[in-house]
Amino acid sequence: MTQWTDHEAAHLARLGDQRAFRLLVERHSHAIFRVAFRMTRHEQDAEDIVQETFLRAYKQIRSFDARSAFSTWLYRISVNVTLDLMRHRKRAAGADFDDVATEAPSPERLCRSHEFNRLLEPALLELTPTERMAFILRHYENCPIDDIAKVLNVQPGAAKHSIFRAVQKLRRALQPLWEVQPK
Amino acid sequence: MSHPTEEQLIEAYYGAPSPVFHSHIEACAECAAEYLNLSETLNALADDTLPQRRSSYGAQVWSRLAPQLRSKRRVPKFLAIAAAAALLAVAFFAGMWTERRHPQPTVLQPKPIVFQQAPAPAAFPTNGPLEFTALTVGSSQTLSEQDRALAEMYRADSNAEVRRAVLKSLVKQQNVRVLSNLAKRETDRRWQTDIQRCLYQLQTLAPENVP
Repeated sequence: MTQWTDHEAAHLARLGDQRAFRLLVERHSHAIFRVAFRMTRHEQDAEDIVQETFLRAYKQIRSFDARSAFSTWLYRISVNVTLDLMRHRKRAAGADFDDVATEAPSPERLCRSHEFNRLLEPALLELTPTERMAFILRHYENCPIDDIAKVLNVQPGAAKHSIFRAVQKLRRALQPLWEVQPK
Repeated sequence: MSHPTEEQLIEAYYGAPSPVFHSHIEACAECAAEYLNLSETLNALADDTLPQRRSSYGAQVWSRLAPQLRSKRRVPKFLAIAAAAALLAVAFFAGMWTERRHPQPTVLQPKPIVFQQAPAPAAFPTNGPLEFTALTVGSSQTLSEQDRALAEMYRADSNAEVRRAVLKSLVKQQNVRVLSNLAKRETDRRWQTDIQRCLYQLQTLAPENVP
């Protein structure tokens, strides 16, 4: 069973084989959690996203056409789940994304007194969801541009531009660190 | 090569820098400093504090997910159709089996009844022997007051004319229920035959042909 490739396991899962789907869950849970946490900066939200992503994947497994990597298809679902969660948060808070991005740091976050994280977290939250996801997939998950474009459902040029804008914004936000630290 | 743009520097960081880019960075101190600054910033982002998950995390996710999947499992369409067909077949054969073991009392045996000696009423066809194979008789049904009165009239009067009039009336009413009741209780073979013929007419003739 563990020898199955993602495509083989997905094919069997489409036929109703739960062992195959279990394999896919066990194989990709860590990656989905990493991306979800980096998107939300919230551990419990990331857990919820992982759960909901696999639940949706199970329901939509027939729509996986095997032309792209299973992980790409899964990331795409997790993007939608994350955006749904953010919209829900936005409605619940009655605020827009900018307000969410500049919200006061939680006690947990305050405990991380590291200067870098103090600057990084609001900087990441100031990125648009598309920029953030593009950057996370490129920087942390080493996804190729074409895969990122598929995940975001945009052209490769647009995906590349999102990464570029994200890096620009992060550089500006983190610039004070380099100014106080002599090389 | 002219000075690379910020976008080109970023592309170079994430991709494979071309030899031309390398040679420019080696030759241009300004671009080298810019590229170093960019690289340091992006390298530092790897320090991102990510909550750690055990290697068994995938199994934990599955254990939370599995109960939800069981309740949401969909039955493939072809399986649903096959199950429905199998159910129908089972119901059909079970019905046949039950019918054989417990034949309905209301269904007469397919024993041919030959009308030979009955002094048939003039209103009924009497041309030669008449055979039929099956006749449904609802003898278990309860009779209404009016039906009971007709049945009583038939039984109380042994006069052939009155009885024929009652039977004729029942045929006109297409009252299978009373006729069945009378057929069940009649002991006189000749009258029983007449009642059966009335029932037969009701079953076989179109309503407009009923006398």
